Amino acid sequence: MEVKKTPTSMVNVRKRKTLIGLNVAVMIIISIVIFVFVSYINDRHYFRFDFTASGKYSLSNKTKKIVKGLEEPVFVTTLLQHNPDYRFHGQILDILEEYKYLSDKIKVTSLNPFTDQTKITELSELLKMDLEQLQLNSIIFVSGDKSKHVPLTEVIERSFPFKFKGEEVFTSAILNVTQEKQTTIYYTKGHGERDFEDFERPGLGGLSSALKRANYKVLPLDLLKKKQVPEDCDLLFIAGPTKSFSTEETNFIRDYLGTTARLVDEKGELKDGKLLVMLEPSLGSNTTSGLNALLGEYGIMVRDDTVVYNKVNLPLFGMQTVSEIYVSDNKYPDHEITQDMRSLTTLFFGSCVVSAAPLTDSMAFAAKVIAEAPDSSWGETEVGVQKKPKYNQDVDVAAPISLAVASELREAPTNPQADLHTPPHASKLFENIGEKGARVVVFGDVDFAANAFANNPGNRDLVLNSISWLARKEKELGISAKAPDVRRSIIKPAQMTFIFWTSIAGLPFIGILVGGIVWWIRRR
Amino acid sequence: MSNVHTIFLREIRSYFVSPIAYIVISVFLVASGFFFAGNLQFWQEASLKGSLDSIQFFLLLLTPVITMRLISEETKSGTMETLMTSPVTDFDVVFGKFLAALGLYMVMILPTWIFVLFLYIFGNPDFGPIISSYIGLTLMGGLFVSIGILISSLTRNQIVAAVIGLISLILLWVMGFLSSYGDSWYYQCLKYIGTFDHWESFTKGIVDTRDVIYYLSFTALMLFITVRVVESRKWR
Repeated sequence: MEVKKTPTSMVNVRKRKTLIGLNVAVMIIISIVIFVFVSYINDRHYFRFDFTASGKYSLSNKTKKIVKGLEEPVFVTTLLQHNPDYRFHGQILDILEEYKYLSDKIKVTSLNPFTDQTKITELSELLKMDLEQLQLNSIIFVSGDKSKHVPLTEVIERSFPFKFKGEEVFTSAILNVTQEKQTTIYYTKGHGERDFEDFERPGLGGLSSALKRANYKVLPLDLLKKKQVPEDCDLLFIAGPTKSFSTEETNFIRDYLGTTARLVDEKGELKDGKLLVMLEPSLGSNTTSGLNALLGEYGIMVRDDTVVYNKVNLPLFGMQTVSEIYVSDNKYPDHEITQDMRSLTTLFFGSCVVSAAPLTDSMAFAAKVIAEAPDSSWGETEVGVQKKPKYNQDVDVAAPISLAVASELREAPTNPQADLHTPPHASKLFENIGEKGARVVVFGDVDFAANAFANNPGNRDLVLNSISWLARKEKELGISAKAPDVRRSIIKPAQMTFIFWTSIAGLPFIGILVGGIVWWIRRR
Repeated sequence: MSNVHTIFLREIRSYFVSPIAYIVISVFLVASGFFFAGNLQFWQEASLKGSLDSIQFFLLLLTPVITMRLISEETKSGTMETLMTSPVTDFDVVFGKFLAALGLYMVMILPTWIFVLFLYIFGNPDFGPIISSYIGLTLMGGLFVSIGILISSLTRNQIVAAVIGLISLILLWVMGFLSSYGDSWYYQCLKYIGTFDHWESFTKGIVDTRDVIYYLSFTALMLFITVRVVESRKWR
């Protein structure tokens, strides 16, 4: 029997449809709201499990402890170019994700250097830096008013097979901006030194920016005005003086550093001064600096000459003698400053000979050479006098020529018998001597640290490594670098052919065969 | 759950007695085999990462083909009414069909373990990322299938279901890329909704509960909406 559609039943049907539609819509909206809520919670509270055999994404207990104990937020900003060829690019972002996972105090932002200009400008204003000073391809850590920039080059161990040391560097950067006292560097003024505010070719403005990025405080110092090296000075920097330091000034420096004769201060504690000297010899002798006697007390001998060497024998011009000295490979003797430098070339420009004095029992300080000139070089004492420099064995300095020296307090001998014959510094009064005491680094050149040579591979690194060593920041956290876990398969061409055909034809054929059999059976 | 089991068996049987399952599986295996062999030859790396990225894309293309007929065919042929009047709930129907489609999806990716065998014979693969990748593939399959079922429930035409399903999955995939253009809240939402970022962690060897819950909750949402859509049809 057919049901007649009356106007009342039509209205009822329409009403029912509307109610059903409304019910469905409300239920769907509620389910979407629940989904959004779950997603919101999910995005904030989560767990991560590293399934890789090498623990590629797992952080060490040391890092976990440091990061979990953070009291102030640390803002991490990456300024990485999207470069798929860069092997560790993804690993940097992944490991930062792990830091973020460990603590909600870590906030990670990834900025694209080419599209996020507004945000990069805001960042530069926050850091009180010019846009140019923000390095492309770096990771910036900021906490409070302290910041630390980590360039990509620091994230990779330089020697092959290029291990990833992101965790060590990042954890160190976090410590740097949250816990450590800011290291203060004073640079002397008033002796024609290079200018730390100068961004032209001879200036040290670039180095100054790099130091600020590494969370150092860089301040000028007029010794004659201050009458002492300030108490908050962690490192005194003398950069290319062309006029002599007075005896009064050198005494201030002596007092700050401590000498063999007087190693302890009024409180009976070991003096802990740090000195970095870069000499400016290319225009004449070093006697103008007035520092030779002072440096001699730390086992560092400075000569009045310019290092030159025979570079290449040109057909028309004969042998070319140049003062640009390239240092690389085994020309960096073993030292904490240079342990990571062998693959990088440092270019010195008109350096003088700076050498380490042979040790005697009465010396409290031991100096070690950290950079050497090529074997064919010599120290030319008559630059500008002769038309063309030529080695004169009577007056010039013969090879081997050293260009930089680092000096520190000698270790106490481990043999107790030796105490009877060792100098005062080695007394048991100074236990843990390797962790304290004055340090001095002297370079025979200042040009290599100037803006003009900043792009040379090893120059900036050698200066920064020296400053880290002086500031005793070379100590590693003991977090080992991670080797890239790339697993190669060794496949012969015939095997590859087998794999190829099995993959693209063998497997699908089984599917087609089974399908064909099923079809055939069903057809019957 | 016995109703779900019954519907699951009915559906899975219907898949394997028709040639469509074999065609889909074979097409998928040709494509994934090509990318696996190509990657292995080019990079010589005992890893599935490169080839799984391509495999993921093919799964995205083929899953709507698996799901297109699930409900739309029943609606068109009128068997849906019969099914709805039988003593099964709407949830039983939707979930049974979902499991069957997911079952076919699993059967489709199962033969790719032969690639892992090749890597094991000729190299020393890290099984961690391989296992996490397959966990990711399974979860992602669940999401793709649930979206496919929802779209199949919205139309009577299988082809329309397949095309809309394909467009939806591609949009979901592309959302992740769009999110890289900014970091405001809506870009963050796009990033969360897009599948790409969630999938990527699995291929690296990381199992993140954010990704797991994303897939599970999104799948649950899609299935819930499908149940509501099917239910509403019954009363119309």
